[in-house]
Formats: sequence, C-alpha cells, structure tokens
Amino acid sequence: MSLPDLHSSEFLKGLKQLNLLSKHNFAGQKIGDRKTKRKGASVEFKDYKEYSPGDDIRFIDWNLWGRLDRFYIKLFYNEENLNVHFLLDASQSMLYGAPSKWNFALKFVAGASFLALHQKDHVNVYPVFDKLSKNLSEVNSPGKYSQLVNFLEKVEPCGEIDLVKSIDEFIKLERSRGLVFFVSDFLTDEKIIDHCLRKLAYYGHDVSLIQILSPHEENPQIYGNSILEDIENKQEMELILDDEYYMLYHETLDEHKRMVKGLSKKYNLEYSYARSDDDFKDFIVRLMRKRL
Amino acid sequence: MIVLSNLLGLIFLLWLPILIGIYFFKSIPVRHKISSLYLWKKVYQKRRNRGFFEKFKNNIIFWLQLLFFFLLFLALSKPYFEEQIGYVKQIYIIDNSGSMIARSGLFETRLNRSLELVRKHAKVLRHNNIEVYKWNSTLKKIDIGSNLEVKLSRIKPSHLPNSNFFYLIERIKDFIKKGYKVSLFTDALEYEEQLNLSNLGVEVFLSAQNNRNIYFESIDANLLNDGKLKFNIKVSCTSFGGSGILLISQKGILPLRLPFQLKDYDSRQFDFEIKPVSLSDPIKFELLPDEPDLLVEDNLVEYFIDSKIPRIALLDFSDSDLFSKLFKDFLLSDKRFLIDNKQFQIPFISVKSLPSKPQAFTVYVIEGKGIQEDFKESRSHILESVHPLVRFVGGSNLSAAKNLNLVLENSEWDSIIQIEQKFAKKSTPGLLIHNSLPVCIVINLEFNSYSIGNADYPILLENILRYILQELRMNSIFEIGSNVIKNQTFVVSKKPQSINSVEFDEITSQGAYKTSDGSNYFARFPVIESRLKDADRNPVAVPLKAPTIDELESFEIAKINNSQYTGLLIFLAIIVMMFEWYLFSRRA
Repeated sequence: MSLPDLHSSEFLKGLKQLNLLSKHNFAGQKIGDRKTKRKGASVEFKDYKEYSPGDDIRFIDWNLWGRLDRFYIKLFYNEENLNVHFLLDASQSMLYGAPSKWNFALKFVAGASFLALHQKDHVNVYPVFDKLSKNLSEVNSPGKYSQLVNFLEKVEPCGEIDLVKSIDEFIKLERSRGLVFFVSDFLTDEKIIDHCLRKLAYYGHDVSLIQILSPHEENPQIYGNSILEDIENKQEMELILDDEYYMLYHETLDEHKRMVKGLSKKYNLEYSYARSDDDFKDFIVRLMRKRL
Repeated sequence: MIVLSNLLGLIFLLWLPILIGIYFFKSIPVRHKISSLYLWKKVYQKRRNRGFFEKFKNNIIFWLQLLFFFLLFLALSKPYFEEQIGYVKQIYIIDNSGSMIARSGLFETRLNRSLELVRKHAKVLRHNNIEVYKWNSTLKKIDIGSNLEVKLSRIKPSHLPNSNFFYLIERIKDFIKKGYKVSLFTDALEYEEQLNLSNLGVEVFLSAQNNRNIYFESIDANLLNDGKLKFNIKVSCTSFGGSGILLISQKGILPLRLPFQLKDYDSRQFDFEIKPVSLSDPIKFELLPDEPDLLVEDNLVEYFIDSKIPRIALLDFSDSDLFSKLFKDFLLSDKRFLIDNKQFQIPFISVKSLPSKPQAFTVYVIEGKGIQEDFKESRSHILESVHPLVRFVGGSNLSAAKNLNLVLENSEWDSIIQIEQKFAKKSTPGLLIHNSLPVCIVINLEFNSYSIGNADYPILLENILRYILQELRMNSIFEIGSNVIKNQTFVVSKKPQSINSVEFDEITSQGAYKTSDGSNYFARFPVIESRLKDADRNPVAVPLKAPTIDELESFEIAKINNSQYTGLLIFLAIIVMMFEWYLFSRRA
C-alpha cells in the first residue's frame, strides 16, 4: 500500500487559505477562533447590559454614561474552538481501486484536519473497523499535525465494518457536539445507512457525508464469464457479464448514490461525492464552498 | 454381467462426445476481486426479476387472484374423478327370453329395465367398441348397426326359454380369453350360476326382484277320520306385501294359490286338507312369493272398475259346441261379456284344414288324427309381441299347422296360437271332446283398427288363453321350458289318487318347470321363470365383483352430491377475495 506523503509542503500548499466552517455555532472546549453564542472576552461586540453590582467595571461604557447618566456594561462574544470528528471507514474495501479510496480518504482527512488545526479546532479521528477504533487524543493545534499524520499512516484497513455498532459507540463516546466528516464508500444496505445517519442527526452533530468510490467501481472493466470475489468477506458470485448487466449495474449504482444522498437530505445532512482519482484539494475547495 | 434387452438405448450414448466437447470448450471464468458484492447482488436480482415468470414470483395478489378463480372454477364445474377401465372391448349379453317379459316395476318389463341398465353402463364406461349379444335359446350377436342404441333396438322380447347355462359359460370364457369384458343382463340366476360368473369376472345385472318376502310362520296338522290331513298354515309377510303360491310336494307338486293378499308385515292363516300319498315320503311345503308384476292376471280387476270400457257381446253362444265348453264358464263369470248381444261375436268353426284367408275374430278348431309332434319346432311360434298384454307361447309343435299346408309368411294369418294336448288315456274330464285324439285350436288374431284401438281385445284374448290353460291345468300339470328333460318329467293329476292313471308320452310346453333337483314346479301363465328358479329360493346373494344396479345409480347420485362442496368452495373464494382486498388496501 503506497500512501501519499501527507507531510510534504506540496500537499499542504494552499490549504492554509481555506477555512473550515460549521453550519452551527457549537460550544467548544477551549478558547479558539470561532465565535460562539456564549458571552466571552473576544473583541466582537455583542450587546449592552445595565450595570449591576458585581459586574466588571472595566467593561462600563463611559460614553454612554456621559450621554444617559446611567451605567451600561458592554458584552462581547466568546471565541472557542470546534470539535471536528472524522469517522473513517477502514474496511478492506477502501483499499480497492487505483488510486485507492483509502488513499483519497487519507488525503481528505489529513487536509481537513490541517485546516481545523490551524483554526485551533479539536480534531478527533475514528477509524471504523468492525468496531470503533481508539481515537488519537489531544490534537488541537497545528503542531500536532505530524502526530495526526503518523497516526493515520499506521491505520491499516482490513475486514468488514459494522457501521451500526461503530456509530453507537461514537455517540456514547463523543458527548460534545461538533462537525462530523463521515468518510466511506457506503456500499452497504440502505437500512444500515439510515440508522447511522438518523442517530448522528439526532444528537445534533453537523454531519457531512463523504462518499468515495473508485473509477473501477464506477465503471468496472469486467466482461464475460467471471467470478466476482468480495475482498471483504471473500464471498463469490459467478456471472456471465454482458451489456445488459452493465446497463443494470450503472442503473443500480446511480440508484444507490441517490439513495445515500436522499437519506442525507432527509436528515438535513451534507452529502459530497468524490472519485478516488479526483484532486483532493479541488474536492476540499468544493466542499468548503458548499459550507459557506 | 449386464445384458441389454434392447440395443436402441445405445443411440443415446452417441451424445456423450458432444456433451464432453461442450464442457471441454466451455470458457473458464476469470476471477475478479471487487470491493463489494453488494451492488452486484442487486444487479443479479434485478436481472432475474426481469424474467417473464419472475414477475409473478413475489406477487401475492396475483396468486390470490389465481386461487380465487380456481376455487370458483371448482365450485361451478364440480369436477370428479372418473375411473377408466382398461378393457379394449365390451360385450353386453342381454337375456330376452320369455321370462324377461314379466314386469318388475310399475311400468317396465324386465327386458326394458335391462336395456336401460345397459345404456347406463355404456354411458359410465364410455367404451368405443361395444358388442351386443342376445341370449335366449341361443346366444346371438347383434350385427346390425354400429350405434349401441340401434343394436339395443333390435332386441325384442321373445317367448323363448334360455339355453343351457353351461353353454353360455363356455361362450363367455371364449370372450374373456380374447380380452373382452363381459356383462350379463338377465332376470335371475341360480346361486351356483352367479358364483360361476363372479369367478369369471363377469358383471351380472339382475332385473327381477329376488327378495323372498313371504315365509311360513307356523304349520299345524291334524289327522282326520277319513285319512286326510288337515293343515293350518300361517303365512307372514315382511315388506312389499303381496300374495303367493303354496307348493305342496308329495311325489308330485300341487300348487295352491294363497287365498288372501298380505299387507306389509302382515300375518294370515288358512286351512286345507290333503290325503297323503305315501306314508314314507314326507310332504314338503314351499312358498313362492308373487313379484309385483303388472300381469293382467294380477290386475285384471282394475279393468272392470272402469265403466267406460265397452262390453263385449257374444252371439250364437251354444252349449253344445266345443267353444262353448271351453269358454262358457269364463265368459259367464266375466262381467264384460254380454251373452247374446249382437255387438260382437267370436264365431267358432270346426275345420279339417285352415283356410288361407281366415275370417277376423274367428276361432278355428281343428280335430284330426295322426299329427306328429316335432319337439324341436315347438318354440317357433310367435304371437304378436307388439301388444304388451298379449303374451303367449304356443303349443308343443306346429306340425298341425304344417300338415294343414299353412305357410305363415304368405298367408293372411297374423299369428297362430296352437294349443295341443295329447292324452293317451280316455276319460280325461274337461274340455276335450275326443279324448284319444290330439286337438288343435287355432284362433285368428287379425288386428285391425278396431282391435288395436280397443283395449279390451287383448284382454279378452288373454283371458281366453288363460282360461284354456286353466282348464287344462285343472286336469294336469304341464312341463315347459328348455330345462325339461324329455320322458323324465313327472306329470301328476290334481287328484292324488289318480296319479298312476294318467300317463303322458310327450312333454307339452306350458304349465310347469323342472328344476335341477328333479322336482317340478307349477308355472302360471305367462310363465315367470325366475320365480321357479333357485335364485329366488336362495335369497343369499352372491357378492359380485362388478357394479350392481344400485352402484350404478349411486354413481349418478355421487356425481350430483358433488354439489355439496359448491357452497364451501364459494365461501373459500370469498375469504380469499377479502384477504386480497385487505392486502391491496394496505399497499395503496
């Protein structure tokens, strides 16, 4: 498995100019760059409040006292960081394709994390196997980027994923709401996807689905008498593939993509589709524009 | 070692190299690793679902609709399983002997009933190739017509007795050997005969009533002073009622008609006296029940009830001539006859030879010597069989008519009834003038529009004949039928003491029947053979392999009874339809 060089300056070039936005103003754990609904000590004015004993007299607006002869306290927005969670499908099927879906997923997670870290956001990466894997802790500053990349490089996709179980674990684990990037090929049953998305939406996360498929999945170059072997569960299926099969395959794939997109819309989530040979920076730009 | 009984099977081995070749050139599938079979399984399922029959596979409403219509089809069409019988050909043997003319039902003769059974049988079996034989004195195939109905229409009642039963058995065996299925339609059979036929697998359909419903309740005897025995006999009846004949066997047979009619489950008793002929021989009694026949003899009184029936007058009635002697008592006792009324007359003419153009309603009596009997021809007489009330088989021969140069075919005689009696000894009381001479009475039965239209004409004729027989019977008992063994037949007088004084050198053809055990039985006119046979005396029926009449009828009933499922099937259909609507509404 050849992994992209996620440390190179070429990879990181241009990412700094982007901002990772969330649709909601989530409360963060620490001081950050993001304005929140809570009152705080940022420079951005929020409102006035009549003075009451005990208030910090440093925030009295003396100009207003001069005009009205009454004391008013100036209030400011608080600036906190954001929890950015990455649920990364680490099943064996992510290794499929050239370039592989896993390759693209890593680039995306690394790139998006880089953006988040530069905004002093708190990044959590959860590789999803048959259960939720252990998270990398305390990644909340640009200095921790290399630590994150090292963590990602050590993840080896294998086996099948259990999305339902993993999402349940994630919900229990991450009580703090935030931005969730769910990166997968989503080649699984509609009911499972529906269950997962419903739960994520219910707990108030700002979820963004990133469906990645390889060019070989979009347009499989297999003809004639073939035995198709599932690389995850090793199941086999013998088919004599002809044009009618291909027509049906494309039809089914489109239906499947529409289904995932439809479920996202149903729960007011964001859906993005990428091919593994797409330029990941373009994809991130596209994604950020969507979130503006 | 394997032996092939037929080498033709090896032809299929020629396919082997082709089959191997097909598998040899079959392309080997290429293995491809893919990320997930999830999409491909869906694709495969879609393709399968696009097949013609796959569209119906998971459509429960479609299957329910099919079930609904199928149930309705079953309910309305009432199908039933029909048993196919594997015989190639079917032979029907239909008895048309004289006894088949007797009426077993209210409106049918036994022959008609048998013919109806044949039709039912043929309808059930649906054989394409059916042969029909009629059985009386011979077994003769009906060759005319290919249609069963045409063949059956050729079977007319006859006066002839049945041939020897063992001859019939031999013929039936021949048929069975040739792969035929045989069904016999007759009125009655002896127990052994039924057993024989049953063992051969022959279907037997009996059209005569063979239930003995009258039996002895008790017999008491008292010895009188004059040496006679006085019997008091109590007779009981089970169902159907009726009357019967008491047969007293003592060296010979004395028939005695029961003097009463029995109702259902009735008991009556009566007395009679008899002088024993021999102290060593027992006196045997037997009861022969009447069948519910519609014979004129049994129902004659009905005709008198109707006042619209014209009376018949006889003119020139003289006590001196033979006809008067014959019919005087009969005519006087019959209320329909008006003596000396000019409306109607039957002239009686004594002739030496018969005229070729006889007068209508005229009785010719021929008297003469030297007329020889021809036993073989004794059954060639045919009385007009069209009229159901006139049934009679003539005398023992036709020689008298032959000697009189009578050619039946070319003459104007419609039919001849010949009653012949020859006595060897004089002083026989009764009707005969010349006791030592054979007497032949010939009656011209010319039918015209008047006679056909007049219901009394055949009744009159039958009564005349009955009277003649009755007169003869009063003096002697006669043997009839094919089973009569010549010169071995007992003929006894009504009076026991005169047994040895009456001798007969020939057998006549009417009056009584000889059975296999050597005893003779009296027969009324017309002869009811079945009554005299062992079949009637052995009420134990032989279980027959083939369907009986009742079973044939029950088959028809079974078909009709299928309708009892109609309601159930329609109910099920409605349930299915409601379930279907329920599913449909849920989908909507």
